[in-house]
Amino acid sequence: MEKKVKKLENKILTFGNTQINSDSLGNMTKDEFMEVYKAKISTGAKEALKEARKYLKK
Amino acid sequence: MSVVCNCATGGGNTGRPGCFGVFDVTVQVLLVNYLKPDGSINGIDISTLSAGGTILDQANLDALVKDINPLTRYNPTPNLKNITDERSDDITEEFEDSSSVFIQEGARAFEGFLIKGDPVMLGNLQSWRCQTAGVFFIDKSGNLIGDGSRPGFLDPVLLQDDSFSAGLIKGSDTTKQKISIKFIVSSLVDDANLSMIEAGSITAMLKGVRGLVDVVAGTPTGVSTTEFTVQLNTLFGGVTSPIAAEGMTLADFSMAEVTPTPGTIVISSVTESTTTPGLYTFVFPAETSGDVLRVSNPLVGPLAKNLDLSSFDVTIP
Repeated sequence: MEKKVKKLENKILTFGNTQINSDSLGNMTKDEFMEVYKAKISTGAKEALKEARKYLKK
Repeated sequence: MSVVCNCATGGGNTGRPGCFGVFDVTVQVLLVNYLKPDGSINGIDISTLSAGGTILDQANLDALVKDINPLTRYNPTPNLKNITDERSDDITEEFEDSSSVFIQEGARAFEGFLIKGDPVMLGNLQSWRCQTAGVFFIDKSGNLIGDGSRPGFLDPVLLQDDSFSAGLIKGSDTTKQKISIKFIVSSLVDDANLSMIEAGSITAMLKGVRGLVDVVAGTPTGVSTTEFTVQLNTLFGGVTSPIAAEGMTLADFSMAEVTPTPGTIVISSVTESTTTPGLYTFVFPAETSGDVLRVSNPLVGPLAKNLDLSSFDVTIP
């Protein structure tokens, strides 16, 4: 049976002044995302998290 | 260049169509290395143009002027003024009866002025003197003029070695600071072979096309195993007030480990400061202490912007 492999999208997510490679979020939890980007994303890391959530580690 | 005589065919026909384009006055030149690193001429392969080799579109132009390889990149000057592009008088041999015979054409000399030229631009232009350089001319009508002697290509016009000269002319009470550009066309180039991609076959924004601006990095700060911050400036501006390289994004960079294990690193994110123009924070997957990372232009061109980053290294503490 063919094994399902999560496809790397290598998509660039833009949040204000920050661009994030979506693939880099795969090993990051919600808390880690907030820790790294809290002070960086000009439009607010909390807002960005809503869109970034689907790429984060569950 | 002297004319090759062909006794078998006689002189050439002298008719011409009712309507045809001619070269207009030059407004910009594209400086290129005449030869590619592989030794071939750094010309435009007409078959690679859009619409089956009939249209020079924006993608074609970007591939030339935003080429990531500086050795094959086309470098447009800003707008030039007061152009002179003339051949000196023919060289002839004169006889005692005052008659003369043609020996060869005089050299073609080009001169133009670049208004608001500054020392940074001057330095970059002066470096062309060392190259085996060629030029394309962009004329007032938007034609792209080069050497059409090679079938299927529009090649740069070869310059005479070491003839390129650029000089700063400071402003006065009545004049603006400017740079003069002078060069001599190689004697190997025959005016009869000059040709053009006509403006009607160019959909790219050719007239006014801009060259790349050098970007250099300051000393990275706040370096950790996963991020660092660095100020990126252009070479322009004052000593204490350099002009920042603003607006760069993730796609404008690539990162690689140089030592001890060379390999590409996928940058996780890039953030430009909202308060300090040109101040960028890079986030990347955790690296090991002692690793040396190199940040440079993206690996695949053409560049997205007119900014050419000089690569810089960061050592992980």
